[in-house]
Amino acid sequence: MNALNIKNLKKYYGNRLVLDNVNLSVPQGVVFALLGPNGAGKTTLLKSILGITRFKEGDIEIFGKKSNSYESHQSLAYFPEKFNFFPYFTVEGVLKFYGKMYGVALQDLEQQIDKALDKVEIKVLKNRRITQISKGELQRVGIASIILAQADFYIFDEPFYGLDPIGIKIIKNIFQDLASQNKTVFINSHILGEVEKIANEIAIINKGQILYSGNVDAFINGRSLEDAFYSIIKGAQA
Amino acid sequence: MNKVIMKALLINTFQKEIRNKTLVFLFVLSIFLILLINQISVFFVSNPAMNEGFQWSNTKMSFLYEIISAWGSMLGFILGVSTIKSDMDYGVSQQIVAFPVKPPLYLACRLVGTWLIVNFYYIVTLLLALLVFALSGDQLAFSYKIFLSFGVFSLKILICITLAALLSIHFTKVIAFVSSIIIFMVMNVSNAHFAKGFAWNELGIFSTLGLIVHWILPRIDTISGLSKNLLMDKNTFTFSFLEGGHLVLSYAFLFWVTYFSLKSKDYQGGE
Repeated sequence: MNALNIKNLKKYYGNRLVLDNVNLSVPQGVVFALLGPNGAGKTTLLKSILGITRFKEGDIEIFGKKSNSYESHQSLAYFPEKFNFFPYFTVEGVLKFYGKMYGVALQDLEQQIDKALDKVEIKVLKNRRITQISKGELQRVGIASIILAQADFYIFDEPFYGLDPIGIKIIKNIFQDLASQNKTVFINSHILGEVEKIANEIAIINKGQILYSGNVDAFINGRSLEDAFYSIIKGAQA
Repeated sequence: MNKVIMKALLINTFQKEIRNKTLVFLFVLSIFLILLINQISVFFVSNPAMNEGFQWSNTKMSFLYEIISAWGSMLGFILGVSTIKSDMDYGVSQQIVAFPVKPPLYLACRLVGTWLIVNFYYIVTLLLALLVFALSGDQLAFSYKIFLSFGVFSLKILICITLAALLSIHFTKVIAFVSSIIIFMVMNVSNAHFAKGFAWNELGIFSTLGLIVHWILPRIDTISGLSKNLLMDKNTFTFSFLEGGHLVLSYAFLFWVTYFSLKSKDYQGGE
């Protein structure tokens, strides 16, 4: 079963067509990356998948359920580009809230929080206010909160944003860990070098149209992902 | 699981509002207001000539009620505009709507959480006012009817909060706050006018709009009247089952419009 199916999706902002007949399938248990230049429609597509932006034409299903339905959200976890929360909360407070929202059993919550903080290596920040930590550390708090979800489909919007090399390494390990548990990881990113190392499947979007969707190795065909990406985008513009 | 989520959302609403500096400011302002009410009421009540032109009753209790009620509604608007808006401002709402939480539950928890905070403030203000009055040498006008009256009045607070939250989804905080007050006044005037009946052939454009408001939105003037009658120990209750039914249906309509606005919110851009 596919984790995600998008059929004939069209999205307009006013009269401007930002997603043009998008068709996309993401198999279960892979690390999938959505790539595209600025303004290509990546974030709009991602928000359409999450059901937080409306579209008039097309269909999006997550594990066979409509993307904007409560049922589809039960198998979903979302990490925004710039993770944020109310400034007066501690790291633990944020994670407690997320854990409860994701339905973590109360008796396990403390243990799950410690485990998640361990995974992103910020346990020492547990009692710190989120205004007292760095941007990269806040991103790690966000990643820890997503780990609590126990979802089947994880969506990460620019997950490498603000992370140092250690943070990047940690998050890549988390992606691989999730995929090994047959969870699906959907990444929206600009960092081609990192994506090349972790993604099994990719889709290239430009001007609202999917230019390629499928296996990474078949796409790069002996080149670097950067070169292959550059040539397909430039080819589409020619 | 829903109970855990409800509790978490309610506590989160308290936390984000209680740690909000606005509330501390409002609390200090409340105390100042009570002392001011005490002084002003002493002035008005002891000068019947000054009181003549006003619609306020010449009792201190009525005076107290009018001022604190207006303050309670105002608090409802102030906190109502931020209950959903602050989620948007902090970039949290996109994460919350992606949670496995039904949007009506999220909305209800935010509104009820805010409502409980305003109610708490309202009760504290009322009790402080009574205390100040008692300490200033007046007979303490304390009765269980105060709480009965408060129970009715709290419905008005809920309507104020919901109205402000609805407008805050579409507008900035300031515009939402000001337009909430304007709509609230229109609701009040319409209710007061059409409660006495009307003639179809006398309806103009504005009075037709007023009639629509009177029918589709909750009748806050009726709620205020009932609350005040209870407080003043009057037996002229004008609240019927029909009015109760209208209140339930019109509030359900207001809630649905707010829910629909939230659900239809288009989180655009971000490229």
